Amino acid sequence: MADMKALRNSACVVGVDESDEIGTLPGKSQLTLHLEAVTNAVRDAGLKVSDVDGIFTAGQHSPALLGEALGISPRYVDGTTVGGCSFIIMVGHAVAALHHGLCDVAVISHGESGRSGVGVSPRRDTSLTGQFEAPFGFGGAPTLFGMITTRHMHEYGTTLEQWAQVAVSTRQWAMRNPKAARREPITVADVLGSRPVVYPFNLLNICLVTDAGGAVVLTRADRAKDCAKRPVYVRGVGEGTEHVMLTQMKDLTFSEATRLAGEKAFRMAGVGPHDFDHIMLYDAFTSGPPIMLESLGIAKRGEGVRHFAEGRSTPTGAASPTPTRGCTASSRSSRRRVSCAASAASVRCRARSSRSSTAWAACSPPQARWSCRASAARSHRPALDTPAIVCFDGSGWSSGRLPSAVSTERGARASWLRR
Amino acid sequence: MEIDRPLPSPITPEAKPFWDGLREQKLLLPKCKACGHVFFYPRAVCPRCSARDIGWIQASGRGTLHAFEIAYQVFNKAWKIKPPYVLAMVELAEGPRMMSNLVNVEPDPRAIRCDMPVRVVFSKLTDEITLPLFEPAR
Ligand SMILES: [Zn+2]
Repeated sequence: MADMKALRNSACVVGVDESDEIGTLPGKSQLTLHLEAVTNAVRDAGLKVSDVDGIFTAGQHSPALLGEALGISPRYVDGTTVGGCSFIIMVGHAVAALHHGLCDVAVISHGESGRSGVGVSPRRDTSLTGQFEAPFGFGGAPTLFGMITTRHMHEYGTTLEQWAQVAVSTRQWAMRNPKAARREPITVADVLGSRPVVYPFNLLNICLVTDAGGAVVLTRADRAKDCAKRPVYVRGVGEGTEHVMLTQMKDLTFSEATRLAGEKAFRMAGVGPHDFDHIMLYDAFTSGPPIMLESLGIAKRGEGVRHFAEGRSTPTGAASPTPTRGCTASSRSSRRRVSCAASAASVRCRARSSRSSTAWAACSPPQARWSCRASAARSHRPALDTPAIVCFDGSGWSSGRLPSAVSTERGARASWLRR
Repeated sequence: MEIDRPLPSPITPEAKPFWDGLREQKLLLPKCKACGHVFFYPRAVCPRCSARDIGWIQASGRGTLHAFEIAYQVFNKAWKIKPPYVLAMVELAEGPRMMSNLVNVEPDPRAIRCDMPVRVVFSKLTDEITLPLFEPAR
């Protein structure tokens, strides 16, 4: 049987960037956000759009449309649309496509006018949500993530204060990011005192909706040396699926899909859950990162929130005696739309809170100031024994899609990570 | 009567017996005739054994509150009920879970706890549509 281990370090992230601006952009269509991100990321790689022959995107715009709009005819397209994690899943798909020669230069793009809704089709309910959720007042991710959260509180005694600490930690990362939507410091009291939206969540527990685009360029390792910047090797990828409708989740407090995705990524990378210097988790809701840590086996069941207690996951808390030396949720906008992503430098942006919508993007260098001290050790070679980063986009897990994981080598772009 | 919430839509053929049952104040659940698995939401194939021979049973209407939320705002344009209201995931005594509302309860986290016993109440919206809501049970 074919083994993904054979693809370890076979492909690299060579370019990442975002749309020219992110935030509230009523003057830009969703397609424009895509195109800005793609052209910026391709330029970051030192390549031309005409070099791109593989297009990967999810959501309302098909990869064929992106190719058309860019004026290219890609040899390979992937439009896997499975929720927020689609774009991280596509890192794995791109690695496989590159390995098999289906394309030579792969671009994963996201664009989403989530806040302004420019050039966006109206959302349609599926027959399942329309029959079995909407009549009871459910609508959007906050009304689903909250269920997981109250159940976790019931089973493990997790408190509102502990969830709030996740938002406080995240905000400290956002404060270092010039593009973040909210950069003022917040306290646990601020979170607990913010407007109640849907118990157990107040406004500051919930992700921020933005307009944003982002893209990542990957190519095979042998071609990466031709690119402008030092490559980030993709050491492991994984994806998994458990449920779509929340009622079908076997255990609300544990994401089986995240466990599966992590297990695959760890196996391919040849590492275990405790081998990481730094972890990035998508933090759509404050309960997400702790439960992902638990599902990945990095924290014990019910103890994920401890990683966020007392500033341990803040930029200055990286040396704390946690199994990993650092743990952030999205380092971008702390409320929250833009989140962590694939490679040692990519950041995923979500543009909408709707659970079916999603976004992804790469980051540009200034954002990715993570606490990973170890990543200061840089090398062209993918032979370091500890992966710098693992990124999990579990955005699907509460509402059901396929989470995925990407662990990357500590590549040259780890320089982006230095404080 | 003014309809104060979104009507279920579209009603799919495989779920029609569920909605038909509610009109008669019966909570029906699909049950696999091959392996006996009771499941929800309705679908054409048993999620446990893949059999296609699916029948229906009348549920007891009893269960527990598996998880809940208290909505302080409206998340759906067609929702006309004034917040706060309680969103519920109920685990039925027969096994499956379904989304609903917890009614006849103070919408206050101190008054609601996971695993509290609940029972169905039928809420008629139109001549066609009755919804299964739940209230605290003793
Ligand atoms: Zn069966």
